[in-house]
Amino acid sequence: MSAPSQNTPHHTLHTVEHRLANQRQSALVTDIFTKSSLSGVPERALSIYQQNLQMTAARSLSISYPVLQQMVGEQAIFILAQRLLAWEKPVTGDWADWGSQLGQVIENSELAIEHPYLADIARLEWALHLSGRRALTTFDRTRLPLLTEVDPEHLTIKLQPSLAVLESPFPVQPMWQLHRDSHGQHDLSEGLEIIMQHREHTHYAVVYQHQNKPKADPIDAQQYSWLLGVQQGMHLAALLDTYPGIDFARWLSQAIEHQWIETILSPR
Amino acid sequence: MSAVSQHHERVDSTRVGVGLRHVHYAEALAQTSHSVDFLEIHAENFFAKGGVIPTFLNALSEQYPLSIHGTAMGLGSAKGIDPAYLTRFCDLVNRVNPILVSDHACFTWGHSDDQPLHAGDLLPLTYDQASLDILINNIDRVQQALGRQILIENIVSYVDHRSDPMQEAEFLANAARLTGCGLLVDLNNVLVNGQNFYPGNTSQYALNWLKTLPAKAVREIHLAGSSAVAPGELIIDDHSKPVSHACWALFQQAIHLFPGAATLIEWDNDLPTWARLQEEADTARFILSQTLIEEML
Repeated sequence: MSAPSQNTPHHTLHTVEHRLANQRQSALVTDIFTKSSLSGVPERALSIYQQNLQMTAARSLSISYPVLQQMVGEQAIFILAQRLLAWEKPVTGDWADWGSQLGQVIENSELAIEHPYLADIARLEWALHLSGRRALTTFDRTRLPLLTEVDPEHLTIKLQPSLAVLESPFPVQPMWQLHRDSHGQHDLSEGLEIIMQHREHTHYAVVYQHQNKPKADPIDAQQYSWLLGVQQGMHLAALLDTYPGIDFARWLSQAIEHQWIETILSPR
Repeated sequence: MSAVSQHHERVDSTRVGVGLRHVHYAEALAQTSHSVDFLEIHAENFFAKGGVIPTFLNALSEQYPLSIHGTAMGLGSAKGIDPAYLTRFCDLVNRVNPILVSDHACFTWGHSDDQPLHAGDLLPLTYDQASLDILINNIDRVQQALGRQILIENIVSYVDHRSDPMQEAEFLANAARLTGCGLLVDLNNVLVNGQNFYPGNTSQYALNWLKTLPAKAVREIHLAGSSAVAPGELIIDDHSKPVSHACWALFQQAIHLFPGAATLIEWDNDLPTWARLQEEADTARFILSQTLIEEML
């Protein structure tokens, strides 16, 4: 039996009482999220729901952003969660889907002045969080002969939806790795040392799922552009023309091994 | 509803389970001999389609009977249940084929500033006819989508319901009668509501509350404990302590009232060791067996 297809009650309820119940419920939700007083719910009850929301939101961020929490601490995550709730409301019923805008919140926070790389650390960690939850399709090896049989102008490579590429003025992948591997033993100043060693570059990373776990690897500018082109659906001939420095056979072998590719597409 | 009856036989009242939380995942899988009869998982923790979660879930379901407990469905939401959420919930239930499926008699979906949102909490319903109509409508929809019975659980409410047209237990009893859904009775939640709004008369309030329910509809009991608060403050439903003495005492009465219900230890915050959690399950099992012996004699 399939799930219903519309977000309305099964048998539509049109009564005045139903409309009032809807208004009453939305008033309470609004009071909880915006600290207004529309619902008439007493302050002491409302404050419990508001505290619950803040605690749950902070706990959710600590799960989705474990390394960032190690770097900035629980208190900062609590404050960031409060600010994020004003930017991005939970909408799906699964807290794991909430928190995509944390990088932007950090960019607009006091943290950005002294630690400008933190926003990109958050973006990397969110990409890892998403990647680790996405379904992976086993690469269909029977499509490989298409590479010799079909004109490259008619071939595109479909990457796994769990793959993402990121660029940053900061070496966020090695910084993230350092803090993750040390389980909070390093302080933020050690991250700054990595920045000093890698300054004057733009840094790139690929995030993907490998053997059921999310991974992030540093890549160079050419690999980044190539992957972006593949992701955007450029056909193989255009990719090879645009990025002649890429050894396609080598890249393909690596991409299959790392479970980056879902399939090879051709019109036939 | 034929699918409902197929699942009735699969749970019996001697079953004692525990709520599985993240910190205990590895120990639960590593354990070869089980002192718990089933594990209850929170549905939303297993919504991910890829990564380690589906693999872990498969391993878990091979080792234990599972019960799926939703924490976000908001069965009393006037706005209805988000179809994408319901699809994910149904997919999970179909993958696991759990012994029980449950969620709460509360609302979660709403609007703020004209934007739809999920409240992220179990928000209280007003116990009136309009809320009942909405609840039974949503329960019908979910039971039809799943093709099986669900249980609805009573929540802790920080709002005073004493002037509502219906009492909470009566409201739940009506929902069960009108939809064929089962009931999941959280004894700690009954006690917390009693302590918050019927101080001085909590035990009697709780017993009357239980006696209002149709016995056959009650298919699961949750046991838990909550943190103490200063006099005059509302007790928070944190499920962060061992099962309280009051809750064990109410459990003894509930066993007599609801002989068909399975039992679950629910501990959500300040989590104990896996061994400690199982000790709580052992205590529940001991009380159950004592009660069965008393009834036989």
